[in-house]
Amino acid sequence: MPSQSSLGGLLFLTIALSFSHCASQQDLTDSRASNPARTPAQVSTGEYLITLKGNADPKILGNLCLKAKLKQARALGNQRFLFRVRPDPGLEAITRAADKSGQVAAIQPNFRYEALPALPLKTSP
Amino acid sequence: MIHRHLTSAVFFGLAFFSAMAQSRPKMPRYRADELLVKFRSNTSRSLRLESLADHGHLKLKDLDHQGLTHVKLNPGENLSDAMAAYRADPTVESVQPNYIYHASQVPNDPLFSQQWGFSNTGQTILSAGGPDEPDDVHNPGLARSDMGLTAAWDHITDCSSVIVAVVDTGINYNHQDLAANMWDGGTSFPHHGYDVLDSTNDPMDLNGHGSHVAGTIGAVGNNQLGGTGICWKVKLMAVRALDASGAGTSVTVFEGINWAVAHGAKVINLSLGEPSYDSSLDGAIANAAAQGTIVVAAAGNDGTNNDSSPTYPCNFSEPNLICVAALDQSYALASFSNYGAGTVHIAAPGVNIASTWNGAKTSVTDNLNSGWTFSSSTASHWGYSTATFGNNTSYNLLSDPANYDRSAHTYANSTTDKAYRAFNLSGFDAALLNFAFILDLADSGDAVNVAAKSSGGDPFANNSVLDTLSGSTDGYGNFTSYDITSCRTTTCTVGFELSSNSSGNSYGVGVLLFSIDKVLLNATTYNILEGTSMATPHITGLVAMMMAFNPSYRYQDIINAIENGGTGLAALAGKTTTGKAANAMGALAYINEPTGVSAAKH
Repeated sequence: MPSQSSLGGLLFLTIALSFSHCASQQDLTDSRASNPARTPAQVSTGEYLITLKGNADPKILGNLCLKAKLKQARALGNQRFLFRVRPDPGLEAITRAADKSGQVAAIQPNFRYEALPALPLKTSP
Repeated sequence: MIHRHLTSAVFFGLAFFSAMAQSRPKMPRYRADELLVKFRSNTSRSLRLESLADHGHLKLKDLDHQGLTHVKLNPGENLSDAMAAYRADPTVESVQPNYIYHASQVPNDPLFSQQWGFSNTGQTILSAGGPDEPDDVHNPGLARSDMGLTAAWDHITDCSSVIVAVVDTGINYNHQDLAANMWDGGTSFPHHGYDVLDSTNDPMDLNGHGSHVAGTIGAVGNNQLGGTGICWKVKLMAVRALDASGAGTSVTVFEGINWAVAHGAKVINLSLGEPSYDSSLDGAIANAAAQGTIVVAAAGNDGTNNDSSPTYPCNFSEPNLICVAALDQSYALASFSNYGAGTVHIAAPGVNIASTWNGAKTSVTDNLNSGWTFSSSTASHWGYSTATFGNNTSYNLLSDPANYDRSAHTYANSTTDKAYRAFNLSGFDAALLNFAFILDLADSGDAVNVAAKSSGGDPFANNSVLDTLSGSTDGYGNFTSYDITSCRTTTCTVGFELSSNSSGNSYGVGVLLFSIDKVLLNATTYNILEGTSMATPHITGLVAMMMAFNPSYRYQDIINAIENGGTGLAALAGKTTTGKAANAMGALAYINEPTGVSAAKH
């Protein structure tokens, strides 16, 4: 049972990204998939849930080969982290970087949920 | 009504009698010293008398000419033993207690007459005084098409042994019809739950949706105020995972579920959804199952088949999950309700549902034809234009380029264009930004940022970005809302910024139908809503009722009883796994031996 103090515990990784050790990279702006009819109801821009393998050190999150700045990595428990990057390189790029690291068990966008309306009834004047 | 009682009471007696010791009926269900014995048709009158004498019983009356006999037991005789003896008698066809009938228990709450899902009399649903008005379709509906709650309330109204978590926009825990039924979180959680969105101890509802859901589950019953919930008494736990616009994320919902389970919730209501498989949420629901917690989820409001177009969490296959579709007042599948023969389990009332609300709402609109501040890093900038949509209606647009026409004109490359305006949002408890947008941006990193800043001035000056829009809406207007509660000052500036790089451009962006909703919380408002969001808490309340009725039931028993105890509807054939609408009496009466428990039998 998580204590309140650790619930959504804030683990800010103040790790400077270094690109020098990375192999030659694609221009990640090109890897950003064209967004068809994007509505805000799908994913939170630049936010991903990353689950690390076993005892992997969370610091590897800062070393993922991304042409983006890690803004925050918040611990959610059980080696799962909310990973915020700007600009958003896209799921494909993050997945490639995660695969290269060999330390990531799972990755998904931070999907956006909405209260299932409340369909718009006639509004009283 | 009497016919329904008779049917349910007989079924109740035949199926439920062996578990009577585990129930706590509120009042005598039958006369303890009488039986109704039905002799076989070929049993002569003398043989019947002989049989009664062998059992040592007195005949009170022949009730018909087919052998139904009213029998008096001996003082102190055990009724169950007597019934067992008659069942073993070869001259006897059947035996039952002499049940006691009385008028169904109904609450004295004035809004109860409008809660058709609990008792459908064919009533016309009227405004509840809140910001929304009822739908005219199938209003009034079909009498007696409801969940059978008035009969169920004869057996149980108090579910306060069960903690029910509403993972939603929060709950208006000060509402006159909710306050007494809120979970006591002690000094650690004085506001009856937690806000996982903002990580605070205050899950107050700034939207209304969560309060409406909570009221269906457990508005205080029989207090002469407002309406009632399925449970007249219950412990409602508020978990705020969605903001004032009704939006949350995988993280907030996942954390909300985990928090609720960790603090003792045995039922969780999820009137929310999204279309992509979410493994983190699936894991949280599986974790809830390990704690014996049932999760009830809404099917979705797109009118589509979840078997082919999934909605999550409804479409997860966890064994502790119930997915709910919505019925209208005629007990047809609601036109907006998702369905699925393989994925949606049961249906419940979800149209024109009256329940508790969070407060009063006023709206500020803007004509989008003057008063905005424009700035640009190039010669191009935002401006005022108009557009006609497919319904032949013309709308004012705030657009970039200013001569937006979605054909001949495009926005500039390498520009940063801003449009913003200040609004007075002080003195309110919550604020919601609403607008529609039509978008055509090049797929090269061009984007439109939306921002709100409480201290006035350029909202993009210190990165107060709410969202970033990109891509194309293919000529359609998309509606959206943002929680700008943090901007409740006299100088809240709201703005839009188009940012383009040097390569590629397109028609640009138009903003229309702009408004800001300002919410003032109060403890007395009720509202009418419809959606699978409203159907879901009908099942959540029923789950709580079942758990309170027999604490030895495991979640598998309760789900089994609710699904199998429902009422078959032709309208639901091929639409849900059960083809049924939830029925409270049917669920209470549907008894299997609880799994993993040895029940004492009489």
